[in-house]
Amino acid sequence: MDNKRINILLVEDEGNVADLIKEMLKKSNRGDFNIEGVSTLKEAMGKLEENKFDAVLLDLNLPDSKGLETLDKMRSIVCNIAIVVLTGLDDAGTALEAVKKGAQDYLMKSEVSFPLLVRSLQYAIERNRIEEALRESCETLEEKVKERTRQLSESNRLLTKEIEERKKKEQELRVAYTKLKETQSQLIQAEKMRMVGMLASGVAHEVKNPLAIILQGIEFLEKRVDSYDDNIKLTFNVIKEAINRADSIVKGLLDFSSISQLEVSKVDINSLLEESIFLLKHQFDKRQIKVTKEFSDNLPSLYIDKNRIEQVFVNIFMNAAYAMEKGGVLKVRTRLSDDHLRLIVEVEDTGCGIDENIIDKIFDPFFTTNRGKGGTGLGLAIVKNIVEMHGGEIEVSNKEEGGVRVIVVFKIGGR
Amino acid sequence: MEKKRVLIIDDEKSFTQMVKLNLEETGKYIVRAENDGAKAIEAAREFNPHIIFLDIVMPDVDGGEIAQKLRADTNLAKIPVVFLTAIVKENEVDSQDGIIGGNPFIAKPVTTQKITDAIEKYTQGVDRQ
Repeated sequence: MDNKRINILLVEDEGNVADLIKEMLKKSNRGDFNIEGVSTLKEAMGKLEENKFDAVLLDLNLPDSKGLETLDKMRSIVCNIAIVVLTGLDDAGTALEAVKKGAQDYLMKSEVSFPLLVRSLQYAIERNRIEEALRESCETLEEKVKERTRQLSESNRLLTKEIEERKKKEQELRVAYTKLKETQSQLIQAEKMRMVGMLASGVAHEVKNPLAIILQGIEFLEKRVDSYDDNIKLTFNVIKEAINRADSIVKGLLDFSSISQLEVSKVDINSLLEESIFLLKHQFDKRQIKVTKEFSDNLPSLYIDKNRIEQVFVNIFMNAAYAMEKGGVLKVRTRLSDDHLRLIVEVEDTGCGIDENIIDKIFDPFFTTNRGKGGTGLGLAIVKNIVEMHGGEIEVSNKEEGGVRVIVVFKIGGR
Repeated sequence: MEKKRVLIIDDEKSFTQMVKLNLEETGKYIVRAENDGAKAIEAAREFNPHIIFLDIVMPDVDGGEIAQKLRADTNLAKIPVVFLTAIVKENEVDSQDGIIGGNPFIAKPVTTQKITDAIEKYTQGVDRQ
């Protein structure tokens, strides 16, 4: 402890005890202590407000306050001062209680001696100082922890926000990328079709003109040659049939290749399907095919080439009819996808199904199981092309219970 | 009965030769073939046909242009013109009911029957001297 003078406030109503203590402290040859004495709590409070003291020697039983209450009142005024409680022999318990409640030490009045008094005061002051320092650093620490926590939660909040924003941006980027890819493949597809179109026109012109000449020539010869010879008749017929076949292939090729130009308009898909079904009524009746329609009535209009899409469904329905030569049921259903972004047309038949070995090839150009009967193998290739030019999809599969299911999916809101 | 005069304008010489043979074989028509599109109008004026069959795709002149010139000529405007072409798409013929740009339309290869049907259909009631 340094040599600064120590200011003590003595609060004691018993005059002899007070005098004894004052005497002892004054005897201190180093003159370390300034002591002031009062005999009531009220006076003590007054003194404490006026001056700064290092320690209080406090008798708990004063004329204006008794017991632990005296300590409480004192502490409520000055929380950071060392307090040494003075107590009688009979009241050691209260003194101990006082230490627990914040007094730094206690002294038995009967045992007070100079060394004990000085040591007790010095210890009390020092303990109070340490407690005070501890409290302060505790508070600082808490403050620091609070501040740090606040900073952390703030940066955490910012980070979370940034992560969310990044996620959103990434999602947007992904969507944009997909759209770009789609547009690109559509452009490539359109350009391919344009090239095929030019090629097909050229082929058509160069093939159809010779075919026209052959046909005219055959017709002329037919009239001049002996028509009673069956083999000659057969030969003419075979040649004419071959001309027809070559002609329908070229026509199909022209049709296949002209899909790059769509005439898009607003179309109600249900009415379009009704019309396509009506066009084939005779074909269905002839084969005793029953048509059931399950049309959703809250579908948005599609922006499509009406004639082309009609061609698609007529083709699909005709394939179903061919598969049900001995009768069956054709089910046509329209609905919205769950996410409301696509319109789905489902066509199901109860026909003979498609051989699983060839189901992957049915959309290939020139693939046909019907070559002898006039099939060119371009029908479904054209269907697929038309649907894809509209940005749609087509899927054909065998049903478990037999028959074929065709699903055509259109994007809502144009192509 | 007077034979009908049929003018056929097509750069495919073999084709026009065959059509001429087949039509004249019927005994009902006189056919003149013109294989140079540039001489189409001149041929029409000289021959004064009841009907003209006109190829659309030819090397120097477009069949459509010839049709316009024919229509613009007061003496020739009333002669029915039927287009012949190799580059026709089936769905076009169907959707347009066989008529393109106001003119009837036949796709190659074509049978003699189709040609005679067209002649009879489009020359009905048209009187030409």
